[in-house]
Amino acid sequence: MALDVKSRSKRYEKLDFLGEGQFATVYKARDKTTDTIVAIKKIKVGHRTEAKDGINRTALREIKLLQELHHPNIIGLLDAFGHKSNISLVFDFMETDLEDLKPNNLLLDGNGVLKLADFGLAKAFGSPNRVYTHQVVTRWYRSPELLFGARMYGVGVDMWAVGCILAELLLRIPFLAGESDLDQLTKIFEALGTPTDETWPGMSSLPDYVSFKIFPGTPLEHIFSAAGDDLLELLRGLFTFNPLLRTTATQALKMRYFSNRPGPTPGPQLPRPNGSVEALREKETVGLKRKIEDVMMKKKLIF
Amino acid sequence: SPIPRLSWANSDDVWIKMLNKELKYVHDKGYLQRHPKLQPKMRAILLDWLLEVSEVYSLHRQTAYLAQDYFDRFMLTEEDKMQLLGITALFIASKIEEIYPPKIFEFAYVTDGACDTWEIQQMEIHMLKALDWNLCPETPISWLKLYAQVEAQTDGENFLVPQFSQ
Repeated sequence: MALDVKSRSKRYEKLDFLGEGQFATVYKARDKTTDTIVAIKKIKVGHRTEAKDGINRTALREIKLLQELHHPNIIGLLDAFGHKSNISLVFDFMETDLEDLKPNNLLLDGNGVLKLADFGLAKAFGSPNRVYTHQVVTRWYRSPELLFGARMYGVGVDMWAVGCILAELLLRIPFLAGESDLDQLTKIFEALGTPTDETWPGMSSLPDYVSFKIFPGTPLEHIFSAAGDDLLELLRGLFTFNPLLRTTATQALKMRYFSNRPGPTPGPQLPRPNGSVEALREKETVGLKRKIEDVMMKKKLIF
Repeated sequence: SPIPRLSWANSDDVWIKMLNKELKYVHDKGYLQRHPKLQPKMRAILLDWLLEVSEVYSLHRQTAYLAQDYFDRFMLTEEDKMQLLGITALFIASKIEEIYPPKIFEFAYVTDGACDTWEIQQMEIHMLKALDWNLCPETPISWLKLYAQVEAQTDGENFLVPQFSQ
């Protein structure tokens, strides 16, 4: 039987506020029982209409997936406790900041080991012919078949997201930052060229299909001018429009990019974020201020 | 592993995962005996009704069997309010399994006044704590699914094989 919320919250000593997302607030805390540092993700109750449906469903599903998955590259769920419509999830503490597959959900621990976080929308694999919800991946990382409303989709959607993340690592800014679903498709086709029924059979029969202007696309070597041929080959495979032909994880790992020199830096030798979370946040604030000052013309309003 | 090669996963991993699940999710065979007020027939009536509700709201079979698991494990500690326990179990299972779970008032509605939404909400947190948030057992449906997929490989023509993209 689970301990009640009072003794649970006594077990954890809140140390610091780490961040806030759409569904949750995250705190750094000390587990007094084991004397370790943990991250506590407190799921927001939401407004009254949501609370009326009891415990937040995204949180329930995240618990479910994290209990199922034990892997060195997946963030560990240590504990869950709840009270009324609140749930708090206790995770391993990661040095990079906490919250589908997008850069914000890829964390590094103190040894430089990558951890995936946030499984609120993850779906267990292996159930045949299920109609899935198509609102799954943060828009910028969403594959064209999802944007066209495909209800039957596979691991290809994750590989598209991997391509977007890889592109973002190269560019240091999101590769395809659409402002709406239609704009997202436009951005994709502008960059990669508009697919045809020949390059992607079945595209025009997807539920939300609309025909687009024919863009020729920009050669990837022009967009990613610093990338070598092996990396461009990988990106091309990940950005294949036809989901059935898109490179799978197994195929990707066999590609030259992953065996060519230089090899990856061992985890513990990776550069670490400088200083504390607060220092980092302060830096961000300064950066943001500078951005605003650079972009916007300062003016004194006269009334 | 006694399971032959699967196209979608390592069959040893699948087998070990499913067996470990069965060890983790313990069902006490004797609980009906230990609750003098609880007749086996009452459980049968409740589970039949949960399947009916699942049909009305077009829920997946897996959802009903998850609810059955929650109910059975929870009964170890609680004895009355059978219908409330049952409908709350189905409510939680829907949120876990369904893409579009029915709303809480729809669950209250099918109890015809026996439970209101407030009671279901209270019971939900109580139940989740008692189950220690362990909500993903193997069910008869998940075993059946595995057998069907194994069978599909030996007899490809007669079974629908998983297809992931379109």
